[in-house]
Amino acid sequence: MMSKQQWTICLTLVLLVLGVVFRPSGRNTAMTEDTFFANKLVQHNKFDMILAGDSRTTLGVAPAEMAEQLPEVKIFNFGFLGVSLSGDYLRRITSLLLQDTSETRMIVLGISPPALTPMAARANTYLEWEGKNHATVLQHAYLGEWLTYFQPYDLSLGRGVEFKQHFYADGWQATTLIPADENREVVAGKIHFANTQVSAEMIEALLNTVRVWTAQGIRVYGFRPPVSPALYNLENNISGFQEDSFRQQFAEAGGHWLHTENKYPTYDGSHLNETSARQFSQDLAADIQRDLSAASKRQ
Amino acid sequence: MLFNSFVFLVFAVLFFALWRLCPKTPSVRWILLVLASFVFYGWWDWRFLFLLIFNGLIDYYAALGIENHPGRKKLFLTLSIAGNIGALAVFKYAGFVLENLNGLFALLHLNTAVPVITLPMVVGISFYTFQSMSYTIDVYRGEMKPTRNIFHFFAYLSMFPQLVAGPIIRASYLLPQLLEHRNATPEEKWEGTRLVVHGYFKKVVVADNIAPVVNLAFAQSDMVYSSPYWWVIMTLFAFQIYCDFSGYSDIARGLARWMGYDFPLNFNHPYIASGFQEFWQRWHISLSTWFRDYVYVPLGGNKNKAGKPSLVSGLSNMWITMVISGLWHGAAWNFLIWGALHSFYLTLERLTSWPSRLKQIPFGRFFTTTLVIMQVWVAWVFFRAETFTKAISIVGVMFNVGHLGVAEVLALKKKALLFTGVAILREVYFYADWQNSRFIKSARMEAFEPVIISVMIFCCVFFRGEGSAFIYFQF
Repeated sequence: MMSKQQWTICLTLVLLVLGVVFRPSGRNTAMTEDTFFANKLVQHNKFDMILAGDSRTTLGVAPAEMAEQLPEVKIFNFGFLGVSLSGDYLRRITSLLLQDTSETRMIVLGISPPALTPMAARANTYLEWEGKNHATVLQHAYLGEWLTYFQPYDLSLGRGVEFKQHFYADGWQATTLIPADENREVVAGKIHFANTQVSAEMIEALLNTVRVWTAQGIRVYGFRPPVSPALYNLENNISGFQEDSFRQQFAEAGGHWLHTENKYPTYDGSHLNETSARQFSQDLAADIQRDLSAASKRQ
Repeated sequence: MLFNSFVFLVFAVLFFALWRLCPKTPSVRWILLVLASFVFYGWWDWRFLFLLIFNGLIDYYAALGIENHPGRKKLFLTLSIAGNIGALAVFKYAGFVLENLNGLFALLHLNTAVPVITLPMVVGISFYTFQSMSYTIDVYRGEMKPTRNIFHFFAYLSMFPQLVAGPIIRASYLLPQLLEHRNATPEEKWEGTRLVVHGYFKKVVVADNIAPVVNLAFAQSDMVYSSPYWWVIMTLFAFQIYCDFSGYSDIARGLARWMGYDFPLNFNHPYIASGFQEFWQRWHISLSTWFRDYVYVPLGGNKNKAGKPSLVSGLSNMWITMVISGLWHGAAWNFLIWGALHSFYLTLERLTSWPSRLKQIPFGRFFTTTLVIMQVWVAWVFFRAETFTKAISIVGVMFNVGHLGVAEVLALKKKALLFTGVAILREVYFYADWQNSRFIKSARMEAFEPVIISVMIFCCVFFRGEGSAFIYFQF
């Protein structure tokens, strides 16, 4: 006679097998958020181009879209939410670049005012993941695919306020909020910059790193990730970030500035939605392509 | 290590395999329990272990000091309380106090600013500190003898199922259990399974599916001016926090059952209470009774200095206890207001006895429970909102009959509403006392239990929400 425990184990196994085999929407092969970030840290591939920056870069630049304009270039988005362009994060970027075989090694920095603040330097997802137990990171990185068999069903029951996220192996996080709330991050920005300001020391340290990279033959690009015009104006007024002055210093340090426009729809004022991120990525890649062509003609 | 993580699953399998193989000698079991608990806790940040050990050593030796030197027992108790409260003050309240001090300086136009220290949040510090303190206080009061085995003590203090989010267990309850060697009976194992599965269901299916909706509602920059919307959001939050926290307690109790131990009940369907006194006898019972026994009663309880029953003393002691209890949840004004609001409810109830009067009219119990729930929901607004201004705005909208639009409610994620509905039905089941009906108690229904548990596990896997830490870890 089977005990209740044994019955439960048998029934559960049967249900789980049925649950995997008869998934209503097929197997969800998308990776989870944990696997997504763990993969960034446990990345064994090397690339020609590394995209780096905070959530505006992580969510706003899709390497696969860029590849349409730059087919020969292996691209990886190494963005982390809330990251600051400083310290160990910057040091880590070069380890992802191809060392000898790549003709043009490139680093593309998404320069947003929040990424240049001491508050971002103290707490961000990069530091959070760096601080995690190594076994946890490995578990997410290597068992993540196996665990996708047990990902939750997509139980969309009619329309409603939804925050959709899709994580890609190339480091892009596609995100959409329905309905969009363009004012959301403007309010958050006011609070953020009341507590912290863009740091001149962090800018100087970043420019020094750009100098080192360019001296190593790495082509360094910088761009300001597009946001809503309201947030752009707010950040120009209260963050302490002087874009014109920064661009000049960046160029003097050997970097190449890519001009961006705030014409892409965002879902919260700060982050591009999936469609605009795709469009922006193509435009950004086209700019880089033009710059590379011009550079090769000059040579 | 989170209960709702893959790492914990592996940890639990290894631990229970070793637990079964472990010799009957108590000290070997204590060492295994301490080591496993340190791995469990150190998984967050191994540096936290130092604080846990520091707190534990203070109380272990203070209790021995009380036993060995009765003439100086007050000194040892003072040292123990100073050490525990000091650790809490530094790691939990220093930032809050300094920030407010700077605010005060600014208000007084003083050109002084104290640097604000930002220390890492120590997971579960309030839980284990209170548990550790109760040990020394009970020894001081002569209610129990201290243990002379340090592993016995640390097995009690750091026992992983309840270490970071309770229940807060008294030493007099758990230490004697740890002395005995006993394997769980088949009934206890089944009871453990039921508790663990119910706990996971509450956390990963109900609370985690509700969380994104509530987070979004509170993060929106534009205030939603719809009274029904905010009542629904607060209902969702009420069930999110209840299922999150009671889910953790259930898992902790279930794991303890598998080891052959018993943890006391921490939540007893609080939302079916028909009065605030009853609510606090059902919500976070281990904390409520801790505050009752170690704060409210020592303050004098409902007696004045002469030892005679006094309404004024009872109320003022209750206010002090509830406000401290509010602050226990976090170093922020909103938690203090939440505690004060509950004190106000309790005062009103004590002065007017409105629940017992209302219960006498037809459907009185239903009306009483509804009114209690509405007040609890209002208090939750202060608990959840980031700022006092926002909380006031939300409460204002909740009671504004001019804003009765339901379009915003219909736009809410249906999955969250569905699982909240399941949680509400579960409470109705206990409210109506269906669990004691002859049909439910029949042997045929009992035979269905494995099916119900299996379906719940299935839901935990395929209908779980976005994984997140348990809310009460931050406390």
